[in-house]
Amino acid sequence: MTDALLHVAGLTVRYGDRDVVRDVSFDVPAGPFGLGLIGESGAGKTTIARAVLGLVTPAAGTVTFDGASVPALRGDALKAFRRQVQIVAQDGSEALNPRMRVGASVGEGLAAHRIVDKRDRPDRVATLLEEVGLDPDLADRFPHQLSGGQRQRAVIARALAVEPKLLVLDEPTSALDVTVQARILELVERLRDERRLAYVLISHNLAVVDRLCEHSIVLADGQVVESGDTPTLLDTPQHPYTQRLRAAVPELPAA
Amino acid sequence: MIAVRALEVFFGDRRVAHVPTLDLAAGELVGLAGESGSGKSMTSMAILGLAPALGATVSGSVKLEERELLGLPEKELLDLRGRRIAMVMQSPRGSLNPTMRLGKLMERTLATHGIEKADARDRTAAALADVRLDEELLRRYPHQVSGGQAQRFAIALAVAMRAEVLLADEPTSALDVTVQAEVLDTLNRLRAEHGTAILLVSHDLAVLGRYADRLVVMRSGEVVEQGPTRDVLTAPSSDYTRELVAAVPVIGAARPKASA
Amino acid sequence: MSALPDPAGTPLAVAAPPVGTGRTRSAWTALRSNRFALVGAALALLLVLIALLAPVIAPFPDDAGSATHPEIALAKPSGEHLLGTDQVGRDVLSRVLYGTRTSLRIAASVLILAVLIGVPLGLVAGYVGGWLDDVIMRITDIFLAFPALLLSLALAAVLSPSVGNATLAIAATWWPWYARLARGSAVAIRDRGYVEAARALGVSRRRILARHVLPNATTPVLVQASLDVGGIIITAAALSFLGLGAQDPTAEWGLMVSQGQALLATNWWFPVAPGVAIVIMALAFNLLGDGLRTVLDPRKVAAR
Repeated sequence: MTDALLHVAGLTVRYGDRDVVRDVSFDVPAGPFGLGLIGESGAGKTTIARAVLGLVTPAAGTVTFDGASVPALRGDALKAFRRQVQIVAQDGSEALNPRMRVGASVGEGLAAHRIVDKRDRPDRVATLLEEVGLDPDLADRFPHQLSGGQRQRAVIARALAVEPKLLVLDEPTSALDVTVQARILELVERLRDERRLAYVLISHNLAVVDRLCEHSIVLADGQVVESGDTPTLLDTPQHPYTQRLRAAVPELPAA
Repeated sequence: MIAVRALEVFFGDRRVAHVPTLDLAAGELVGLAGESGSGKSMTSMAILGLAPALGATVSGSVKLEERELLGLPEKELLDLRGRRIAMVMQSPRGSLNPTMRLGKLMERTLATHGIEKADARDRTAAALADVRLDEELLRRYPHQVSGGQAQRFAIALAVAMRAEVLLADEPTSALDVTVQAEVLDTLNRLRAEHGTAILLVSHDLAVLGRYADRLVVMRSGEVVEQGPTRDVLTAPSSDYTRELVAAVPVIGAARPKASA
Repeated sequence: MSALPDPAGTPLAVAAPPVGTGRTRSAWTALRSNRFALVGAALALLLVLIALLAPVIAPFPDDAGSATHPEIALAKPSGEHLLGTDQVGRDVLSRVLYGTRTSLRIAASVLILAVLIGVPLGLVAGYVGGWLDDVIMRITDIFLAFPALLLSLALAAVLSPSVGNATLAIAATWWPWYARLARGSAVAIRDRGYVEAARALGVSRRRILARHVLPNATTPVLVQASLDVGGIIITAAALSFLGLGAQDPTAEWGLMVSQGQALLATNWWFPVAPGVAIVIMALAFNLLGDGLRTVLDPRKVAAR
């Protein structure tokens, strides 16, 4: 047992009679740190994320956060955990409630955990929006009145509101244009240092993982096929699947 | 094969695409790059003659060899589309009739364009071999095949029709990266073996970088740059292309500092 | 979503001009361009106005109540009584106009009851799932196992005949549909990103239901409600026709048809006028509901 912030061991998640995640283990130390979950569709990445967030119950194995078993959390302990771990999902998955103003969405965690007084909430929301590079006036808009990049920033602001230690970033940029993606990646890098964040980054984009994560695991069919520090993993992939994945990624010609 | 001149696409008074000149030669693969809102898809729609159906007005000239395509009656366009110009769309299965087995779909398409039954059978077999699909696939319905198979089948349709021009609009953006490679390799082989002229529309510069001979970069409806792929990507002449190239994440380019 | 790409491939959300509360505004724009929906909305509005203004526009307001004028019973249409008079000499036109009130009141009451009972049950069943879902849905199944009209008839027959009891009898058969509808929406909404995010934020279940699930489940309920107005009015009329609903002197269309049916050969306008009113009312709200369904489809609204 390490002093990891998040410790996942032998995680198995079953939907019906199918194991969508089988015997997955990894550690995430306290931030700033990035762990990459690499894999193609159906690899079980999102299911692992949901297990980390305590949104699905594992069929076997353990998910431990800060020394406490996540599936066993109840009541106040669960509520405290909810402040520690947050999710940023892919834009386009309706990550923001279409019927709620952006400011209300961003302030939701503030209300749920009574982090600031109701009267001070608009100010805190404005600060959060500024922190992620958004005009505070956007608080009065509805999600469909924002661009994809702005929506994704708002989603990040909502997660940061509760001052988490760990973020689960589930394909945070895959629905965005490449120039927009670049700015979101910069934002994640900045927040990681400023807030000393740890995160689990789920992505099919090897270059994105390479840029943001020290350590990575490669998943196929719900199982870990390879893990290690990201540069080594991507520069000298050992498992045939990782090699195939690596070879399939087209790269820009060098200048 | 295809010569586009002074092409303009309007929605009301808003010009959504403007392409002064774009040429596509036999056996050439030209990449049309851009982000959302760049007008790249609208340009390919206009070339296919599909833009007016979307409520757009189109002016300028699009020639297939010596034949002007703009303003051609729908009936003649329908005949050209499929027979000489084929297309592969983003949604792998969405463009295939869900109630028809793939074999039937192939048969119908070939029959529509007046190809005899015996000939059609030979062509189908050859086309499937070309895209490395098993003939067993013909007995399946579109929902029973994978995204990559569906895209390769769409390409096989083009091969069977002996289409001279293929327009592929984001053909792999809904696919996993390993599947993407299979589909793009198939496209690439097609132009080498059959001399098909291919216009590949994509938001992914790395994909275009690997496969395209020439690149056309669009932004907000305007062509900002075009030239040989290598030149455009390694020595962009416009600021926008430079920004676009810089934004593409590259493995090994930037890595997090070693954590404490 | 249509298979057609949007112009210039612009993300729809960005292209939408930032006006008002976007969705409401564009829904109205869309409604205006749908001719049938517009006709339905205009007719429905007209009917509501008639109901509100009945005392002003009805030539003989007192005839809607217990007034009787046996001396002019069953008069033919004339300048004074445009649709003639009924068996006790009351002005048929006035009673038909007042009947709008009765019908709309019944429809509104039934819908309010059905929505208040059905929607919360459905949302909870769909969102929470598990055994609670099973229990709630089995109960609705029991109600849905009987033909609605038959069940309403049976219930109304047990209760004493009155407008209020007819309303209860109809509502009792109507709420399970709303429970079903709301459950379907809740099941779909449960897995949306914003609900998952709210759960991860530690937002309470009750709050998630109220702030995320309910607001996003209202559109289908609204559409279904306007489509149901016609059916409820016809059911209410049927109960009254059979003597299980409104009682004389209440001005109710079904009751009027029943009172006039024997006179179809001689005084056809008497039963036909309320019959036509029923048809117009049902048609109006059907057109409106159908139109709403088209224009409130969020994907279509976004595309405009």
